[in-house]
This record gives sequence, structure tokens and C-alpha cells, in this order.
Amino acid sequence: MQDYDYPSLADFAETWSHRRAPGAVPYAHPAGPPILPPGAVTERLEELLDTVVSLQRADWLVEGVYAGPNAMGGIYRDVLHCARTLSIAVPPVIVSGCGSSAQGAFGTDDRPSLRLSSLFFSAATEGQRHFVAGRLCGHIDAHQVTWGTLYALIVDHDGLRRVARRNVGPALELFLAPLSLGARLGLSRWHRSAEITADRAGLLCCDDVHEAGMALLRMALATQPDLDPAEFLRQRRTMGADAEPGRWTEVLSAKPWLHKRLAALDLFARSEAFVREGGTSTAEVLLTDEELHERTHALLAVGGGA
Amino acid sequence: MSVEEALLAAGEAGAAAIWRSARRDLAGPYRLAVLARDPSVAARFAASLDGPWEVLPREVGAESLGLLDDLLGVHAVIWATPAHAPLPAAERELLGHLRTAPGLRGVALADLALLARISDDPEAEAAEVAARVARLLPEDWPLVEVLSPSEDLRAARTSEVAALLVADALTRVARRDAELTAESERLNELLAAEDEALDQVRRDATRVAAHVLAAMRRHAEQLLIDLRDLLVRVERDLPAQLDGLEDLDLARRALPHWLQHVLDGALHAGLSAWRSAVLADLAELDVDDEASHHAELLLPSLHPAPFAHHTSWGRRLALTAALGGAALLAAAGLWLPSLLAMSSGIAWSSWSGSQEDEASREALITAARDALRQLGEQAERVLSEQLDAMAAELDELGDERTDAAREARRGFREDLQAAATQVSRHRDELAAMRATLEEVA
Repeated sequence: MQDYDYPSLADFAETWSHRRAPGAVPYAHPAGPPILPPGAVTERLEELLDTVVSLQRADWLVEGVYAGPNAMGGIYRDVLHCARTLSIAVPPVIVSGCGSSAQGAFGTDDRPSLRLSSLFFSAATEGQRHFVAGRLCGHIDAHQVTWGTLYALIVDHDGLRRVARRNVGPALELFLAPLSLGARLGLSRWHRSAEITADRAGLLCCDDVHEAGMALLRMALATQPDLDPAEFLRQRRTMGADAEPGRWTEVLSAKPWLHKRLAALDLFARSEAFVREGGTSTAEVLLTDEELHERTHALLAVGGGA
Repeated sequence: MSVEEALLAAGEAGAAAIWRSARRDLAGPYRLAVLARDPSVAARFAASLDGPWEVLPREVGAESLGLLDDLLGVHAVIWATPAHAPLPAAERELLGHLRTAPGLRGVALADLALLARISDDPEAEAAEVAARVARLLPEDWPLVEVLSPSEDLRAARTSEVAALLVADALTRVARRDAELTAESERLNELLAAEDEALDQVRRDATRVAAHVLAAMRRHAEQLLIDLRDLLVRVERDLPAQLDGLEDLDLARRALPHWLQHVLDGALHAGLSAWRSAVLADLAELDVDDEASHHAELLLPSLHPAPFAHHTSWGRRLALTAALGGAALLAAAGLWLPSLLAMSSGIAWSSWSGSQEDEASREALITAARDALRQLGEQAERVLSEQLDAMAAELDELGDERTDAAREARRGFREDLQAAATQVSRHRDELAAMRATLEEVA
């Protein structure tokens, strides 16, 4: 260690700032980022989020713990594996008995933290654990944490707004409520794309598209699914729900519909990008980056079928 | 207790049945068994006898098991040996095997009439043969011409048979007792070997744990020394690093990540080297792979605290209050005051931030130094905690392995203990049988 040759601050800063630019993450699904250039407004925004999230973290820690080598060591190992796979710093991890859908990456791009569910991780397979931890680390890697947290705060996604309201007070609710619809319209599409990027990161960490699909189904059903992801997609196609008017509800949805996420994972698992990033693909013919982007884009469009 | 009850209590059901049969036979008329190797000799001699006997001619072959039981039911026995070929070696040997023969017994010369045909002086010949036979006979088989029953022959013979059967039963009990004693000793040796094996497992595991822990701590000390050296090196290098980056704003934003990256990378390399060194030590000591798996330190999750001059909590809270107040005013329909509050909050926050941007590089270096020290302390603490946790795990290694070995051999040990218990019970039963038989004997 004493001979460890670390990079200079200047070199690191140059790489680091490039890494934060849109499209810098090679496996990300590009989707017109709402990322603002670093500046006064962004900094103020991050400071605001830091304040709210620090209050929220304190709330989570009332009935949760920081994972570490000696505390929830199994979960910490999973996160460590994912952080090494994606080459990011190991983020702080709070483990609590929350539901699967409340898991997430919160904070800001500079100071992110993960919230993981002990209920999910205690019963999941290694592949499923790596997928879920990996997809949250993917949000950090793709610098989606600031906007993801803002989105969650504004549209009451996953109860974050509720937690913030309890800590900051009802004034926050008065401020956020009128913004909710606008934020949904403006950020939902970006948010859905961000979820696809995170799913791809999760797949890179678990390197098993079947386990990734099972993890998504498990998070959706809140139990060990007694069906195959392929059977789920077949059922979805047979029902023909994509042609019904209800499909327009996806416009304001925070996440792509589950069958689309499964299909998008399958596309990524058969792509050059997946193999280039270290994944193991069984496909004989790999999709080029352009094909992957076009087919994923068509899939995510409202009414697009899996 | 009767003889039959004693035999039954001793588990000698066969002997008890023989005893019942013999007692019934002995209670009837006097029975005299006439034995000879040639059945015709026995028949001719039996025919020549008279007196108060029920004469039972018997052929005696090599297999005499049934005959021995038969003899228990007779009051007297005569071995008839032909006078023309008296008492050959085979007959003398057979006489030695007739241990159930009654006490009233003897050897008689048969077919004396044949001597008259082959000898000129049959009487002298007969006397000579008798003298020769008398010399060859064992002490308990006298040469006789005829046997006469005494008055108490039935009672005497009955006692004789009872004593014989009880003695036989006692002999068998003693033999079984000896077998069970040997089996008990063998089982006790096996159980002692099991205990010794478990002790050996515990000793081995304790030795392995001590080696693993010693190797881990020895190399961990070097790891922590190297970490401190690195921290000192980076701290000294901070001014030069900051001088190398013109953009102060970029430096301020990238510096915490750079510190994290440097420590993360150095620790990752250091932990890899630490594990290789520990495994090399353990391989030399021939420590098994399973124990070597304990030798693992995980990379700690390190996060620099926000730089104090950059992230003033007072400013953050003021900004949050300003925006919240603006929201309240907007909700009350006071749009202009709301916009004023919001823009004032952002403007003030930006202005104060710009003031901070003008803070000297010295302040940034001081903040980075504090963060670096905090990261170093955090890393040392987490690594030390991991080592302590592993030491506690290794302390349990002896018990864990002993429990595992005990569990793996549980079936065998339970079989041994069950067998030992059974043998012990049988020995107790045998002791009771022996006491019962000795009481009757």
C-alpha cells in the first residue's frame, strides 16, 4: 500500500467530470437527461435535497441499521460486489424492514445512499440480491440520484414525500403539491428510462437474465414468484392489454410496466453493450448499440408491446 | 426354588425340559442302559441280564449327543465290551465322553460264551481278559458282572442329574458372562476412542484458529501501518495536488471523491496483499482451506464528511426555510411576497456560496485534511472491528468443529452406547441367573 500510485487530483477531476456528462455511462439507455449543468441552482437544489434526505435517513435509522462488514454482512457483501462490478465507491447502505418497492438510491449524486429491505434480501437468491443491489448502484453510477430523489420528493413516489413532510412540516406539502403534476409530466419519461438503465446495471451485477427477471417479479409480487418470467410475458401478450385505452396511464407512470422491463432486460442481455461491459450472453447474434436503443425506445413508448 | 424354576429363571428352557423328562423317567422302574459300539453286542448282553431293571440296549457311535441326554433318564449304566476284542482304544475314548452317565456304572465282558469256541481254557482266558480290561479302565468305570440297585438309587440319581444340569447351566452362564465382559470392554474402548477423537478435533481446531488469528493480526498490523503512511503521504501531497488544478470550483467538488477514490483503491490493493500474505502463511502451516476462509477482510464503505466551508448546514436550513415560507405565502395567495421570498433565498444562498468560492485554497486543504483523517480513522476502526469479530469467530472454531464432528458421529456413538447399555443389562441378568443357580446348586 505504501507504494500505491494514486492518480493526481487534476487527472481524476477531469475523468470524474466527464463521467458525469450525459451518455458517459456506456450501458445507460439515453433519454434526454434533465441534468442541469453544475451551477448555483444545481448546488442549491442538492443542498436542499441533502437537508431533506438527511432528515429522512434519521427517520429510517430509527428502525434500521447501516450495513457494514460486521452488521448485516451478507447484504454488505452484495453491495460491495455490485460496487466493484460497476467501479463505484461503496455507498452507505441502510437496511430496514421496509417493503421491496421502498428500496432505492436517495440523496444526491455527490452523497448518495441506499435503502434496502431486509425482508427482500433475507429470502432472495444471490442472483436476485445482486440484481436489486446492482440496479440501485446503477442509479449512482449513472448519476441519477439527485433527480431521482427530487422526483420521489415531488410526486410522493415510494413515500419519500410523506417522510419529508413528517420531518419538515406541512409547509413542504403546500409547496410540493402543485408541482406534482408538472413534475410527473416533465420527469416521468426520464424516470422510466432511468429505471431501464438501473435494470441494466443490475443485470451486469448478477449476470443472469432469468434471476434478474425473477427479482423484478419478486419485487412486484412481494413473494417468491411461482412462475417463469417467460410465462409472464406470454400471458401478457395473450391478454392483449397493450391495445386497451388503459395503456395511456403509462404516461404518468414512474416506472415502465413490468413486462416492458422484462423485455428490455432480455434485449440488453442479447446486446453488444452487455457483453462489452462484462456480461455473459447466450445470444448467437448480438444487437448493436443502435439496434438496442431503437428497440428499447420502441418498447418503452406508450402502447409499445413486449 | 425348584431346579426347574431355577433353570427357567436362568433362561435354560432346554435344560429344564430335559430335567422334567429325566425326573419322570427316574421316578419309574429302575432303568439300566447297556451300551456297546456294536448294537448286536448290546442286545445280546441285555438279553443275558435279569433282575429289577428295565434294560435299555444302546449303540454308541461317534455322535453321542442324544445318548448323553438319554443317560440322564437311567439309574445305572453298563458298557458291554466283547470278550474276544475287549476295550479297544476307541471304546476307552468313548467312555471318557459319557459324563452324564449315572454314578452306578461299570464295564462288563460280553459274549463270554464265544471264548469257549476259540480257547482251550475259556475260564483262564476270561480271567486273563478281565484282568487286562481292569488295568485299562478309568477309575470311575469299574469292571462289573452285574449291577444291583440300592434303596435310595432314585433319589441319589435324581440329585446327581439335578447337580449335573445346574452345573452345565452355570458353565454356560459363566461363558456368556465372559463373552459379555469382553464385549463390554471392547465397547468401552470404542467409546473412549470416540471421546479421544473429539478431543483431538477440538485440539486441532484450536491450533488452526490460533494460527489463522496470529497470521491475520500480524499482517493486519502491517496493513494499518501502511495505511497510516499513505494517509501521511496524501496529506503532505494535498497542497501540490490542489495547485495542479486551476479550477477551484471543480477542485472543491472533485476533492471528496478523489480522497474516497484514493483510499478505496489503496485499501483494495492492501487488502488483496494482506489476504495473499495470510494465505501464504497458512499454506506453510498446512492449515485447511475451510479455516483459511475466515481470513477475509472486507473493504470498508468510506465516505468523507461534507467539507465544512462548502456545506454550511445553517445556510441549507435557511434556504429550506425560505423556500418553505415562499410556498406558504403562495398557498395564501400572496404570490409577490412568495416570489420575493423564494428569489431572496436563492440569491442569498448563491451569494454566500460565491463568497465561499473565494475562500482560500488553504481552507480547502484544511477541510480535505480533516476529511482524510476522518476517513483514515473510519477505515482503521472498521478493519479493527472486523478483526475483532473474526477473532471471536475463531474462538468458537474449536467448539464448532467438535460439535460438527460429534453430530457427524452421533449415529455411531449412539449405537455404541445402546450396545453398551444392552450388554450391561445382560450382565446384570446373568448375575441374577448365576445367583439363582448357585442357590439351587
